[in-house]
Amino acid sequence: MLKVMLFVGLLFPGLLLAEDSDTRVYIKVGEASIKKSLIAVPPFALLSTASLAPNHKQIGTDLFNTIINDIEVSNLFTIIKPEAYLEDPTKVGITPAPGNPTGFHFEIWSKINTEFLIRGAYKISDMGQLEFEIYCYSVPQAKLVLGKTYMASTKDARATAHTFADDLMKALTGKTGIFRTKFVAASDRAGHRWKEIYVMAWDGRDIVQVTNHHAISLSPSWKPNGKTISYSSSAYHPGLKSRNWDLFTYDIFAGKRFLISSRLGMNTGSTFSPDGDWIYLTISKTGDPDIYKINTDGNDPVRLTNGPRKTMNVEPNVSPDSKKIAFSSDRSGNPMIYTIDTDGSNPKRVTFAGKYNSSPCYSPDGKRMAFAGRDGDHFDVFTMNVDGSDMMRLTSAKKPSGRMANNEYPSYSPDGRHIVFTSDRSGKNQIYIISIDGTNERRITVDDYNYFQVRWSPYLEGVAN
Amino acid sequence: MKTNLLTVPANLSEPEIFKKMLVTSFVFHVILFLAFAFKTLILPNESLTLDPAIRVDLVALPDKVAKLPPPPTPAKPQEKAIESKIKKNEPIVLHPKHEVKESAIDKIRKMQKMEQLENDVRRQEAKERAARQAKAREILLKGNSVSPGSALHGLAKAEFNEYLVQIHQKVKENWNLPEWLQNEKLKATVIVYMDYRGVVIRRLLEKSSGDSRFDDYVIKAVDDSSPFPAPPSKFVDLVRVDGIVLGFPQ
Repeated sequence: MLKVMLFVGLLFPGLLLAEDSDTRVYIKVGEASIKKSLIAVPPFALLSTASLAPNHKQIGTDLFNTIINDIEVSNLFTIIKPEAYLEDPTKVGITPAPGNPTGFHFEIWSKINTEFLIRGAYKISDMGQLEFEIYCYSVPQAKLVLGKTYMASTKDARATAHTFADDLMKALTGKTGIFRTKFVAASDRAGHRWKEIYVMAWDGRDIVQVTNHHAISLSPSWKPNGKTISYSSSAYHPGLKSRNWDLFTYDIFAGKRFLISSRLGMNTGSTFSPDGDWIYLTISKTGDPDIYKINTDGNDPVRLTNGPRKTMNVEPNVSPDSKKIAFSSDRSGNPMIYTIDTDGSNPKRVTFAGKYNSSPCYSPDGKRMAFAGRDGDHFDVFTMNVDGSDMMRLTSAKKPSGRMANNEYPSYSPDGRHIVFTSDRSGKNQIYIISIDGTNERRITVDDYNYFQVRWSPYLEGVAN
Repeated sequence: MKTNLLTVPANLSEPEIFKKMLVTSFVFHVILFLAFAFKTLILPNESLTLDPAIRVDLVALPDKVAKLPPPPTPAKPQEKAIESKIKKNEPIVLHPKHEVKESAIDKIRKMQKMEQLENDVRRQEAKERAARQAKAREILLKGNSVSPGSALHGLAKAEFNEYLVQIHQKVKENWNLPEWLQNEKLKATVIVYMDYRGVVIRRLLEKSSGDSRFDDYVIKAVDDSSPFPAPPSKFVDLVRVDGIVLGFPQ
């Protein structure tokens, strides 16, 4: 055998010899390029029922559109256009041949390089019960990846579709999908005079008003259990004969509201600790806005920042490991991002670029941080390592007037692959999402209202709807 | 009539007026001096606060880098792919190079350079041969029988290295994974055997990653890379019989 001794690695990185290099030629190929998988999702078949109501087809359309949208947003797939199909999905079954004699054929789907094929069918009982049978196959392996039958009320058709999309992500990636998560945001939907707090599905559907203060309510935040939100409202105090920025929590499922802190001045910008036992917020009872932590009853306040005088320390956000707090402060002149330990020690300035950096938000893995930064006349969403390095601008958009739009208040999805933010590029402050690499930007709300300070919920799997 | 320092009697002459004003000025200056001396020496000084200067560097935020997603792979029928591969396998027609007229001096210079290069290679090979023989003698003393081996050296080694770089580039172009598999840190190795044209005649999954989906993408990368660049004639046996081991990713 020809012995080959090579030292190519010194000249060409990536081409290196392995341990048995004295006998064989070994090439290290290196890391793969990321590609999107080709997926085919033919429309779902409606299995005939005794009494076909007119809305039954619409339910199928809702199921289909919801799953298509979820798959597109995942940014993991390219959906094959129906015109490319070589097999008519309406003329074959939803399970493969030869097991099902009238089933579809893997080899036909393989000819158009299909990697994954989703086939589904549904029927609706006379009692209005939806039965949705759906499968995902790996075409190259001719193998079933996921197959389930979901039973739900017809009004929960979209939730059922989101559940399948989450299950699909789990089956393929091993990680839970984000398609049952929600947003909380402040909005002027109830009237332009006030702003109330609203909860909605991550795709902007099923918007529910959760406060009715007839006041300006802002800075909502999720408790890690996904059942409670905190927010601040300019509540009227008859004793003071004036309004004060008080902190409230709201139990979404019980429908109960609790006053947590009404200390004189600001009680705003709240965020929960990862264990849910503490609330970090800005309190200005001493005159200057500083960051405090209080327990979930509003007691045991601990002051974490202390000046300098006439400066603000606002918008705290706790790292997932509960060791650091990021916040915005103008102690050096322009508002910049700083971090401190959760006991208030070890302050460190993180951003030095731009004129105004605000609303920091840690990624779920604690390695990156998103924030809104302004260097010209508008804000954009940025991400960076938690030490301030490797800064990256994610957004850049223009308004209809041609001026640059503001993109603000970033918040990570629980899987860390997407960021939600608000933007006034349409003329109204609407909700958008974007992948963390700055691609796949999508508008979520499409209406004439304004939304502010949107926050992405934690995973809500197992949390009652 | 009462007078004071500031009033000037009308009956005084000009020199007397000047003298009086001079005295007046002196008295005021003395009072002023005493007042400052009293303030400075007797009254407590205000503390002087020295705040550290804050230096703020204004740095621009980075621009958005246009990071376009890779264009989706067009869904093309398999027959077409096979057809295109067959085309690639057609024998390559070599056209004669253009003859460039060179001056006699250029030719002599080139010949001299070639000679020098050959001498260098001969010297290097002689040195390596001597080293091998010395090592063999050393080992023979212990009773072993050592052959000189068939390791590549000199120009042959450089030529083979260059060929491996081409192989690496070709397979790297076709080495793609979905995001969820890339994050799994899986590893697999494949032995690739190819003919004199670089067409893969056999590939063997030597070490599975343990995830059949990852293994399939590894095999696909090899299949999509075939035909590889044709090996130089002296290495045809090597790539056909021994094969080349590809590590995905390492």
